[in-house]
Amino acid sequence: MSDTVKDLGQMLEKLREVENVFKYGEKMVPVVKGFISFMSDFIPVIEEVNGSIAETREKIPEATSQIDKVTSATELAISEVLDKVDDTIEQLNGLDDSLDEIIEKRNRVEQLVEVLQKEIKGNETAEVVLGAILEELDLTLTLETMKNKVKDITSNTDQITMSLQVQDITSQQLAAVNHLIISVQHKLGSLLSVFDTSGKRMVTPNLELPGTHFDSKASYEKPDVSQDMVDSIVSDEKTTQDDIDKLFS
Amino acid sequence: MENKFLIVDDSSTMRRIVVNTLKSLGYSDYVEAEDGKVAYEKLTADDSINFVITDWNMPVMTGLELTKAIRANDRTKALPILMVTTRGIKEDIVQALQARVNNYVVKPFTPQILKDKIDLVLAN
Repeated sequence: MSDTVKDLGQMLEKLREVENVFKYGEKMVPVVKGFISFMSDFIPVIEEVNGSIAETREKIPEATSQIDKVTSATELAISEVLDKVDDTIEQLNGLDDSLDEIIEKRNRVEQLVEVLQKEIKGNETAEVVLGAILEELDLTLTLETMKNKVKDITSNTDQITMSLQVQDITSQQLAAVNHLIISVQHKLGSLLSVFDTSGKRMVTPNLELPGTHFDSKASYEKPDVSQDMVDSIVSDEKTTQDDIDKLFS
Repeated sequence: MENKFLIVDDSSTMRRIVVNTLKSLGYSDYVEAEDGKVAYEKLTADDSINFVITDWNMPVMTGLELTKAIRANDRTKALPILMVTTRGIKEDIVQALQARVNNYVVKPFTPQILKDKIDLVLAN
């Protein structure tokens, strides 16, 4: 008898638990309804996102192609500038040689003038005329100025040559950007395959991921500062190596 | 003996700038390569090359790999190598020195810096 009562008690307890589950279920119904409503609204958003991803991804090959074209066009333009720099350097060298020849001639003229001055000593008119001629022919200052100008222009061409190296640096930066964009294209392709369960969407194949033959940290800085740091490291490393070598000698 | 340079860089602009600097130093004998692999092939086929100026970041074979390949070859292991690169952080420089480059120039460089380093390497 007592067992039957105990069983009935347990049954009642289970029924209360079931009742609680139903009560909880009733409470959950609005939440589930809300979730279904949210999903109904969200699916078109996902579709839109999916479409945007596909559209963005389709534009990537054109973007990378444009970047490659920029690199090639810049390289060509820099090559033309270098042609002009070469011509300028050649002409400057020619000008410098000509100036040296003029200086040599002037030195020879000075020697001849010394001889002439001795010959006409005492002839006042001749001395005055020679003095006037020498004054007119005094090119010392002009020649020195011209030599300095040639030096300045040569230094400027060196500066231009250095500045043109920016092309190599920017091309490495652009290569890094290209690499990043193509990586994004690959990721977007993976995302598309996740979203597009129908398999109906036509997905263009991934671009081939280029090798990482660039320095993504390449930057155009004042060269002397960087080179000083490099020289210091090279010097330190060499000292260390020398010290090591001494230990084994 | 006349110096014959091997200039290795995937940028034609950079190769040209190095060539111009060499010409201004009076060196007219040089060959060019656009990556480490081509450079190594030229080096092993031409005994007269006695100075290598190489970039680091290149496709196919990098300048660092080229340096290691040169140092591992009995015939070429003593060649002077000057690394000319945009990589200017200490770890990179130390890595290049450990691979036994003779000196290191950071881009962008003035022609004078390149001249000084070539002279320094040749003097040693």
